[in-house]
Amino acid sequence: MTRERIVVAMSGGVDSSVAAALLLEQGFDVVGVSMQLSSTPAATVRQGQGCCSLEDFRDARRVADHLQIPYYVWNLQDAFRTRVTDVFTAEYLRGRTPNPCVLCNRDLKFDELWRRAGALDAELVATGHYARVVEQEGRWRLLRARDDAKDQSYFLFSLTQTELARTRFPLGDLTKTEVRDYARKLGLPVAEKPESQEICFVPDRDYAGYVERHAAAAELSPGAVVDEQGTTLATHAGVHRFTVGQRRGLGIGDGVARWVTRIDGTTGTVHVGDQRALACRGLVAEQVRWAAGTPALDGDGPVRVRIRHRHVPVAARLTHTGNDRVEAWFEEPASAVTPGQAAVFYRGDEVLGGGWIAEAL
Amino acid sequence: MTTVYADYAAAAPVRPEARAALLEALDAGLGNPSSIHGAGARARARLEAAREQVAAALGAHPLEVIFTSGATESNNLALVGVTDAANRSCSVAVPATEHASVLAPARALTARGHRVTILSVDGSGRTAPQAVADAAPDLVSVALVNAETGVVQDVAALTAPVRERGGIVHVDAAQAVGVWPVDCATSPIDLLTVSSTKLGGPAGAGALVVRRGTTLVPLQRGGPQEQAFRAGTENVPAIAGFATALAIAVGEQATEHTRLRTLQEQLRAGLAAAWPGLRYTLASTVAAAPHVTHCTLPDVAGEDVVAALDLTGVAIATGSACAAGAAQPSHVLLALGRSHDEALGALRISLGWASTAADVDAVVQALAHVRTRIRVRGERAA
Repeated sequence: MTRERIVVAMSGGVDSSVAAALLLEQGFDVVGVSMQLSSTPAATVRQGQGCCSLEDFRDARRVADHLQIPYYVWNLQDAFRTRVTDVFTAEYLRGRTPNPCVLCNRDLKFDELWRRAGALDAELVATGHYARVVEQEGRWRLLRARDDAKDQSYFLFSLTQTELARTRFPLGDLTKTEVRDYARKLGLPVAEKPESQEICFVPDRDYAGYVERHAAAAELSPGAVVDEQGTTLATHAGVHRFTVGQRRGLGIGDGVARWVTRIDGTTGTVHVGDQRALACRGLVAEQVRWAAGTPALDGDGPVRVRIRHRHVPVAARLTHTGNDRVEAWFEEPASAVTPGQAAVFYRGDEVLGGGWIAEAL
Repeated sequence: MTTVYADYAAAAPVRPEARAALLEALDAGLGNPSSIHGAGARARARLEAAREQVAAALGAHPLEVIFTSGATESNNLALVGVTDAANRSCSVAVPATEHASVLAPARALTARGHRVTILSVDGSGRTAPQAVADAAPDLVSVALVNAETGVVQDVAALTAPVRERGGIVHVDAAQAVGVWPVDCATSPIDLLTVSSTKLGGPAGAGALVVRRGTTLVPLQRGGPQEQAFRAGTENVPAIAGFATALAIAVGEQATEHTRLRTLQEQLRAGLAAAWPGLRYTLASTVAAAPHVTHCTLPDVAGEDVVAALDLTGVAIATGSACAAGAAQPSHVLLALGRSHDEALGALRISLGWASTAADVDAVVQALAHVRTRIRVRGERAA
């Protein structure tokens, strides 16, 4: 009997390595792939600073060797630039705070996995995300991971039913500790590898610096920092330097604690206020997609909304305002609703769907 | 799973005779060829016999053969060695389609005060002799057979303007030896690069033929090995394997050329039928090596096809890859005027000494299967 083939996205980290190992143990014909997203051509070579974390590709390849599975690297540099990093820059320039990891998962990794898996004679794909997919009564349900601390379902809200049917998340029922233990037991060379947390293409976390290196000076939107009374407190070099909820680096310097409450990319105005002004009653989400297959209806009762990764979801009622736009009205005010981030709707453990935050209400 | 190997232009399977020569040298209790004692003398005997074999096969004098670690080192030694020896600013010209081991050192010469001209090519990848004449180089470096497309440059015509003004001619014959005539005795070549792994010898060996009267500064400094052109203890077993493979490849060149051309015609006919829209990089009328077949597939990433074929046991290539192993847009196709996307859709199928008609059939069948599975670029999964 031939084993069913599955293509696993391998980053060189412990999670996707264990995902590949688990699928192999479950009897799949596993093919590992890594995605090359960027490159740094170098005239001089400095030890320890390779192109596009060469070390991670080497780790993934060594794990594939260890598991004795085929392994390939896909060149996704063009797509990564047009679908992720260019969008990241453009969003900051508009005064929004993008989440490139959600963009990358939605518009790049899964798209490419599904599209290219076919060429490799595979119907199924898998990743090392902490999330679960279960089939119930003919419907595929995207669920939070058992390990709440590691849950990554937030990043997956836009997967469709067809896509979920073809996707496996082998780590969904495991804790991080169990994953590391399993990696040690198998002798995987990445068992003790630390987590990566930063946005991969901005390892120094200087997002403003990144935007300034990748945008023309004329594209920046300088303007005023104004308080709730409309008084100009300072001027600034561009809205890309601010994010809703930000407290430091406002350039005011009068000792009064203030937070960014709203950013107007058109006029370049950064609105600040006290902490209470951060509280919002709801949000407008656009480009909403429903992983559950059908939209959660206005009368369906409350859902919970997560407005950023690791945020504790808040209870809310949804109102459809047409054209993939949804208003979510919170039962209790929530702090720092940030345009550009994803809003993901949950009922219990299930991800119903989500969209991109357009504005706070 | 049956396996079919069709990536000879990257590395050919080691010929049994080369393997035997390498193992014999490994097991012979050899010392350092520079030593006085018997173990050293036995190593030296094998080294010099290999040198004579290589020289005879290429129409050179044994002392003109400098053993290196392979074609990359030979190319670097030629370009950097000649210009360093000139003690003045030189003009250097190389076609845009050369191998990275020529282009990279050529570009680096700029920082050393030399003038470097990257010569444009036509849609088939050939350089016009007039372009060389216009550049008026002191040194021209050109591949007889291009490593990606297999196009054959008219070396005699290209290099005539250089010879007329007393310049130096370097020919990279890494892909040519064994499939195309290469003879230093009858060709006006000053420097010639040869590779071991491309013709069925072990990797890690190669040679630069340095004709009498050519002055070079060595890249690696140290002892006086290799007529003082290349310091370092010689890798005698690899060199013995290399020389054996080279002698056989050159001896069989004429018959292999004919045999491989027949396989190439079978392959070209099969591929065109298997993949509608497939475009051969070279028209059948263009002078081309018989062992390399290069094509582009519309709206498909070459690396997808290579991976899919690999899973069915068929090994072919995209052309060029980065350190991580992902395919890069081929600089050769870009130089031929092809688009960025086309340059990512390239496939190179290369055959050699052990290839058979059954191998060609297997490649065609595997590609026809992948064609039914693959989705074109930009198409969303259903």
